[in-house]
Amino acid sequence: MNTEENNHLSPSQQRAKDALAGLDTPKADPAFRARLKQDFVDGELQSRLPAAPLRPWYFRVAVPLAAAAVLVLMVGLLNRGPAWTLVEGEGNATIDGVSVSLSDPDAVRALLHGGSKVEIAEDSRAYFKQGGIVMAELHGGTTVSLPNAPGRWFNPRMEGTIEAGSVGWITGPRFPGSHLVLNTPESIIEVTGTCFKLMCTPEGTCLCVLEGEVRAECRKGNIDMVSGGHRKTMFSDGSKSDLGDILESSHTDLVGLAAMAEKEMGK
Amino acid sequence: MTPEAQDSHSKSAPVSASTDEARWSREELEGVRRRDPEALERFFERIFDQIYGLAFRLLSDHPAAEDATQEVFLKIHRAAHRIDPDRNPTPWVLTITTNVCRDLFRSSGHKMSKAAVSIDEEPEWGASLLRETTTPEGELLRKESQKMVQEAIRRLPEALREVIVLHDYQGLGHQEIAEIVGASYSAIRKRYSRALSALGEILEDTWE
Repeated sequence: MNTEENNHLSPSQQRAKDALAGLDTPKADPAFRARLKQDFVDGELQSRLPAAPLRPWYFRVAVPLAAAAVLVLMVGLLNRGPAWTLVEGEGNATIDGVSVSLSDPDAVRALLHGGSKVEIAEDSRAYFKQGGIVMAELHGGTTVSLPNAPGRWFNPRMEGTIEAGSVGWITGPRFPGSHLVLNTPESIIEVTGTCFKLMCTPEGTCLCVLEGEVRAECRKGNIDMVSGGHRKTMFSDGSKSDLGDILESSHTDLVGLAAMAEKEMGK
Repeated sequence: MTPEAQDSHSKSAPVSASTDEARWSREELEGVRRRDPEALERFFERIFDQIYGLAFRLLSDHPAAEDATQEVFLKIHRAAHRIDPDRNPTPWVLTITTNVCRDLFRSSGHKMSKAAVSIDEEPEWGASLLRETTTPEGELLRKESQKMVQEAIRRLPEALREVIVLHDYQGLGHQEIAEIVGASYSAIRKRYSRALSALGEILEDTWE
């Protein structure tokens, strides 16, 4: 025992030292000692240690992969935006080749999804909405591929196509952050929050904007920002596009659509 | 154990460990290096009590001390070929033991197994700690008091517990302890003083 540091101990420290000095030498279980000695001498010690459970490699790989897949799936499902629903309609439509009455919302809902090709019969009309994000008024004779649902957190882009006819669009209170792109044969329309109408005829596409501002790109020409109260007509023969005041008929339709949207989606 | 700890045997200066009453002969250690069964047996006999005793004092638990001792002998066997026959292997062995016990003490299993242990239920035993007695009753009290001291050691923070056990149980000097735990001489001196004070306070609280 070293005594180099035992000087000047306090009573408490001395008590501790005395207590330690009174300790016996711990005795191991003789059977344990004998077993360990034999194994140490024989070199068998390794085999006495409990082996770590070794899982097959595919288990170690498969579990993290499965967990990652489930996580991706859950995030994907949670990220999905609202589905399209029929708000109001009259007449008939064909959705992805299936005829359906526009007075049967359940039948329509069962067929609708982002990317559905919807053909509205002549003398028919339908209002569709996608949660509080966007509402569309489809007039008779319109053929449209509905935009997909935007992601809640990522991939906020919605893209649809209008092949023919007239469609009024209005964005809702949940639209901010989303990005709507509409394709017509003559143009690409990009929307960041507004109310407008697109009319597609064999001669071209007419864009009428009631509120906000819409970026209108002619496939064969220039790009314009069309603001509320104005229109832009883009011709299929490549003629120079025409800018002017909003058409009276479009104004009337869009005011009606805005009122409907306010009722259905809120301000 | 880290390779550094394993190699500390060959790097450190020869240490005259206080508990080594007889010097290790070069032939003995050469035999251990070759894992000669007879040399291993002699080595085991000389070192077992030190390893087990240190492990028990650090872990305060016989099953845990057995686990630690087994782990230490496994490490010794694996690293036997690295033993320097010209140096005392005891500091190296004590370093391995301290490190193994440190790992074991930090493991959740050991903490859980010790969580239910309390000496507060029998405080009256403490007063008889230093009492010399030869009666059966006195012997029982002495053993229980030893349990209380051991429990007080267990309550010390790890760094203090190591120093106090290596010093007062293993009989090592501050310099030897400094080499084993990887700290400076002055740090070990201060740590030892703090450890004694802390142990004294715990014992005082226990016996009151």
